Amino acid sequence: MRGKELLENMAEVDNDLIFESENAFHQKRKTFYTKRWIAIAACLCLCLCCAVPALAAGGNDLAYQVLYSISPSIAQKLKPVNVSCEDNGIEMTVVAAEVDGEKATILVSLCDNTGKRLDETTDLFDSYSIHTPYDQSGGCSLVSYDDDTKTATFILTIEQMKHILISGDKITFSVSQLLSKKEHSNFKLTQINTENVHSITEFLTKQDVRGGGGINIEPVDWDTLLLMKPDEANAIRLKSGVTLTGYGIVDGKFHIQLRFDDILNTDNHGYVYLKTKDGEVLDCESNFAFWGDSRVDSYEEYVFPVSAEELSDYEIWGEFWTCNNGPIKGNWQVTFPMVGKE
Amino acid sequence: MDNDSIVNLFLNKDEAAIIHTAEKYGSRLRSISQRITADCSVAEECENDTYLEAWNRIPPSEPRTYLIAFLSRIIRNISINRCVERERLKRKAYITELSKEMEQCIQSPNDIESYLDNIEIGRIISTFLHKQSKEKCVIFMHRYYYLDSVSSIAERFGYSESKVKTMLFRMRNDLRNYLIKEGYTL
Repeated sequence: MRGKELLENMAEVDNDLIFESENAFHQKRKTFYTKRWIAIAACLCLCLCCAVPALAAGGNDLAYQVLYSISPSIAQKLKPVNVSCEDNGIEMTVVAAEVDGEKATILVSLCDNTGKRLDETTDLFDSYSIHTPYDQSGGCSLVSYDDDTKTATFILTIEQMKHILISGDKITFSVSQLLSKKEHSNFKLTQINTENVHSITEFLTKQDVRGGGGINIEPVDWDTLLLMKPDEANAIRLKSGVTLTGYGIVDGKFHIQLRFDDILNTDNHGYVYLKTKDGEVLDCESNFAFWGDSRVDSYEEYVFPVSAEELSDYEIWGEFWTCNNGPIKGNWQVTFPMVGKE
Repeated sequence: MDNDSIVNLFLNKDEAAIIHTAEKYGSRLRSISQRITADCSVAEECENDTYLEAWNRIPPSEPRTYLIAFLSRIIRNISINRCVERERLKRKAYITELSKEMEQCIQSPNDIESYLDNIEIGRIISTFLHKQSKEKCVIFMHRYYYLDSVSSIAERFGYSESKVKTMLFRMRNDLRNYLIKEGYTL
């Protein structure tokens, strides 16, 4: 079964669900118009009272220089916009933009005016939205970070589904969270003695697996699946945000369990793999993720088709992406008209 | 004309059935197709194909109490197929995007044949949706039944796009967990 089939099979949902959504579709629009006018009024007030965007005449040289060094062809096409807003001490500027047929490119910079909260790992934590008059798909990626000016530059690309953006069409770009100071690490888990791994005897009694994956495409037998009970008393901190909460042999296979702290605010994630002395890598055959009691921390258990005896031929490694600062929150939003290709 | 009378016309193979169906549901059906195909002329073609398909299916089907649901299923399938068949339509990429989203609901997506038939999968999803709040249910339906864009759902229901995205993300996770918990292998 693949996603496309599941999408097609949505056609088989109950009639009442179709009736309900059809009706809601026609009823909700009326409600929305009221909400939209309230929202427009609120936005106008906001614009007038607090966050008056500055539309400067000059260009943002730094961002252009950065983009020139990476992609001169894109940089040459962009037209200055320079619309800014500031919240939580961070100024967001739409530096330049250009529309060319169905594609639009936007250069955005974020500058920390009060500290050094941004860095070369900054991302928008999937909190950005691009609003255009039509359906569209878009993407956003970090171009560079300049430590001297404390400015991170991002480039956005928007592709319209059907309509072509024309010069003068307004686009609203908003961001609500930034994640910075992320760390990437890849190291050997020396804390585990691969020549002395025991069988596990304590298991989770109530499984609340929320996800998983791996190379094993055999269906999981959920009735017999055994996942280790996190051993918090003997947990070993591998690095800030990542803790080893158990390892051992379950049903003849090597299991290793990690806890990633506060994943919804830190995006802490990673994986474990085995490596032979010759450098050959063995990925887990399956892995399972489940929440801790407070649904803040996430446990992930990796299963390798390796017995206790075979494990001594391997080293255990982990690759992790962590962030222990939490997101920088704010309400950054600018609206600007697109400038067409000359 | 009420649905019962329209279905009777179909059963009697009276071409007035098409005229009355178009009068009553034509704009709704075009709207469904247009949201999927994003093309007015294709939507019109799909609408006409839907009448033909309904003509062929009634009888044996007798959708007296669920005519709009019956027709909407037909036009949905025709419109999706039209997007996939016509390479020039960028909507094919959109269908792929939605398929990938739905794939998150499957515990281990693979090419192995499903253990469940389409009707059974529809029943499972329906049971899951009935357990959700009306608001969530409707948004899920609009995204994955009507294939509406996140931005249009947000606009239609007066939410921010990020709220809609978050709701859908959580619902996909919930559906996945529901399928796992209930022991369904997709």
